[in-house]
Amino acid sequence: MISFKLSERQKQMQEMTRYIAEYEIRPIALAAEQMKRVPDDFLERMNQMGIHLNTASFNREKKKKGRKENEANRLGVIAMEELAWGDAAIALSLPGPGLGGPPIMTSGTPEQKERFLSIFTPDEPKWGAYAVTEPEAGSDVSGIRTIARKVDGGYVLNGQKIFITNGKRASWVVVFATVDPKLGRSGHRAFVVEKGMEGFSTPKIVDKMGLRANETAELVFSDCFVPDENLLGGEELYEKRVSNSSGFQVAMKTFDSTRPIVAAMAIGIARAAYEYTLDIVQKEFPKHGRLYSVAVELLAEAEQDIAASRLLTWEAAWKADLGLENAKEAAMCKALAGQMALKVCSNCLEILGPLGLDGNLVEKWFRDVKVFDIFEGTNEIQHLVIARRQYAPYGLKV
Amino acid sequence: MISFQPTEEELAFIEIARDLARQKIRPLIHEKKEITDKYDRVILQMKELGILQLELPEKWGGLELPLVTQVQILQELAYGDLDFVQSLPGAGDAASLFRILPENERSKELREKFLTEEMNTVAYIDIDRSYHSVKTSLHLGVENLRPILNGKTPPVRLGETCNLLIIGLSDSTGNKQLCYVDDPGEYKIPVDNRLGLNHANVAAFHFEEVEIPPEQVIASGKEAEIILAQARARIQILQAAKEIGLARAALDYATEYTATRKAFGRHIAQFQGVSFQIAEMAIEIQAANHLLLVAAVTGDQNISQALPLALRGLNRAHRALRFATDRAVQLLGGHGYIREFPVEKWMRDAQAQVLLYGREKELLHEYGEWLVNNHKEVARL
Ligand SMILES: Cc1cc2nc3c(=O)[nH]c(=O)nc-3n(C[C@H](O)[C@H](O)[C@H](O)COP(=O)(O)OP(=O)(O)OC[C@H]3O[C@@H](n4cnc5c(N)ncnc54)[C@H](O)[C@@H]3O)c2cc1C
Repeated sequence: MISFKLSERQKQMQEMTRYIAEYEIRPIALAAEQMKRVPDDFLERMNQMGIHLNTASFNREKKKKGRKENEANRLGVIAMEELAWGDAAIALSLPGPGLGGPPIMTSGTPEQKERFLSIFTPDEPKWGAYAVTEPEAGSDVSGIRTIARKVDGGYVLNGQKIFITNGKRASWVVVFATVDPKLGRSGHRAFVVEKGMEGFSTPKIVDKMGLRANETAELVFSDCFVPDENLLGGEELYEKRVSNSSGFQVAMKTFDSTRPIVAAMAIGIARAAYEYTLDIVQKEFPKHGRLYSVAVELLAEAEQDIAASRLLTWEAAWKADLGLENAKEAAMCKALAGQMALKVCSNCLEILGPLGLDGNLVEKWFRDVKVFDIFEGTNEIQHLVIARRQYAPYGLKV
Repeated sequence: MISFQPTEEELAFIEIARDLARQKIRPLIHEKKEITDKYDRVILQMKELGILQLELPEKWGGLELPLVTQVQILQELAYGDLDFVQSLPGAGDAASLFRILPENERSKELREKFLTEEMNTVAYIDIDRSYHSVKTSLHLGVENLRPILNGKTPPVRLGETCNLLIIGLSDSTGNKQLCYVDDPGEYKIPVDNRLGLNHANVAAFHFEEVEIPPEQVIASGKEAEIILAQARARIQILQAAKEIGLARAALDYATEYTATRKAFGRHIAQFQGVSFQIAEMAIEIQAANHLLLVAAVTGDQNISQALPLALRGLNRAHRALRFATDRAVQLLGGHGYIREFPVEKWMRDAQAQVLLYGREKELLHEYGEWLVNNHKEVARL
């Protein structure tokens, strides 16, 4: 049955994360941006409470009779919308496996899942990260040049990754490299590189337009030895599916569960800007005249865009929970949410006028939100993914 | 639990509607209605299947289906051709009114009238909500306690073929009134509609000192206001569903065309200027669809809570429909402009539909005012 009612668990998750967003995250948002970091004691507290950046799992198995329906992806998007409403930079800095979680969940061996995912305990905040992007390869993942050379007992990595969220503080990073660039996608392998491994360094944190409290790092691998047991999924994964370009598939499959999460965050930011501005219009604007008319129209559009993006995101997450193919829906929600969230923030500034210049959260959200139309696949790449699915029934590859 | 899964019953309905739309309705697009009886045969088949009576209450001979089920069926039907769906005889938009009329002497009388003939057609207009370009001249005066109609209506769907005309309007004292005119044919003025929905039997009406028998006033004052508002929300939801159906037709048509057409030695779909537009159409339509589903699901639980959501749903459906039909013409190039291909007709139909059911910006403004004057909870729906 078509329904938009939250289950008990979903409602609890929403209430809990909303509370944290409002009373814990939002109050420190401007200060954290100023400091370009999230205070350690805050992160420790969140970790103890179990508030993690966990980008959910992709359920490949169909629901078995009698088993409770998997809600992980729906819970994930509900939670991340709320947390990002509080502050997206802080939400992205929360401890947990982050974007590195899905590839481990979908492709890791049972031993690897245990080893890498069990480190996230209340004792100490820890992070995971996900590294694909290189100076010469972002949208075109197949163009990565970080080399993995097979040696006795493992691989030696050489190369550079850029723009890696939580890359410096992470206890481990899922790193994509190629065993031979000439092999194209089928040469790709995913490794879990652990902090402290020899030859692995994080020399630089970049300054950004927004999301300043969140760490974006450069990773360098110089003759970095990674043991065989850190090859994600083990050799079998790649032997089994050489023709299916498995390393590349791991990267792509990750997007199906992370794009809805990223979309949900964009929605949270847009909602924050919308609610803030609506409140000001309600309390402070005259209820007639040209400005009022502009505000009414822009707010109506904003609210509608937010709701529509949320529904697309829920649909993508719902499909992921059911183990259904969702690449098109994941791309759709990311494309719409990324673009609309910037439009909403920009239109809110348009309504606020000069008010928006003075230590105002909306201008921060405007700066923060732009990247949501860029990372996890740019808007153009989402269009490409959608178009491919649209033309597939006609046997045409675009 | 959040779910986008239709029920088994809905899936069965969808399949029937899909077959009808693709096999029976779509092929009629280029048939001249006047010189074929194919239309009548399809309509008869639809009537037998109950498809003309989805919204009507059981007492009125209908299936009384939930909005969310109807939405899915209407989307499929309008995928065949919106114009055809808008031309269907029967209760038309008035079905939504019948759905919420309280059971009393007057509604009973109206029902009996409606049920007497085999296939009565009803036209319905809520004058105050018709977004007439100039303040409508139609008004209801009261002389010696007798209601008198004077003035013109804007164009109304099914006006041409209706044998009952139901009108919602404010009387000279500003009170809402809901009344009907039996056999309104003599007051009809033809509309020179060249734009679109050419089969939807659009006509206007002109009344001069026409007395409405008191028993033909179905509701007045606050009661009429509530009925009109709730009927409007139901109509908006059902109309939005049809719009999504047509928008999907335009998307699929343009996708198939661009997948086969070649230029500069490649399939034109291989140019991103083309394929990205297809992706954008798909996103817009799905977004509008989901907002509509929220309105429908909410409307089935409590129609008075769905009023702003229906407004929002129709506004977004208008936007998706205009966008998708325009893009479809564009992506077919010169062929899109030629009547041999259905997309130019769909673009015209889309525009006509928007004119009949409320301007896009006007709906947006009304919704925005509701947001500013009410609360922010809807943003979380
Ligand atoms: C704050 C931040 C955090 C990030 N976090 C991570 C992370 O944790 N892990 C990680 O791996 N990466 C991360 N990234 C990188 C991000 O995913 C990439 O920047 C993004 O995918 C775009 O790649 P690019 O920068 O190389 O741009 P390019 O790929 O060079 O794109 C440039 C332009 O060309 C367009 N374009 C490219 N290809 C096509 C095409 N085929 N058709 C049409 N247009 C095209 C793009 O849309 C874009 O407009 C992060 C980036 C930022 C800014």
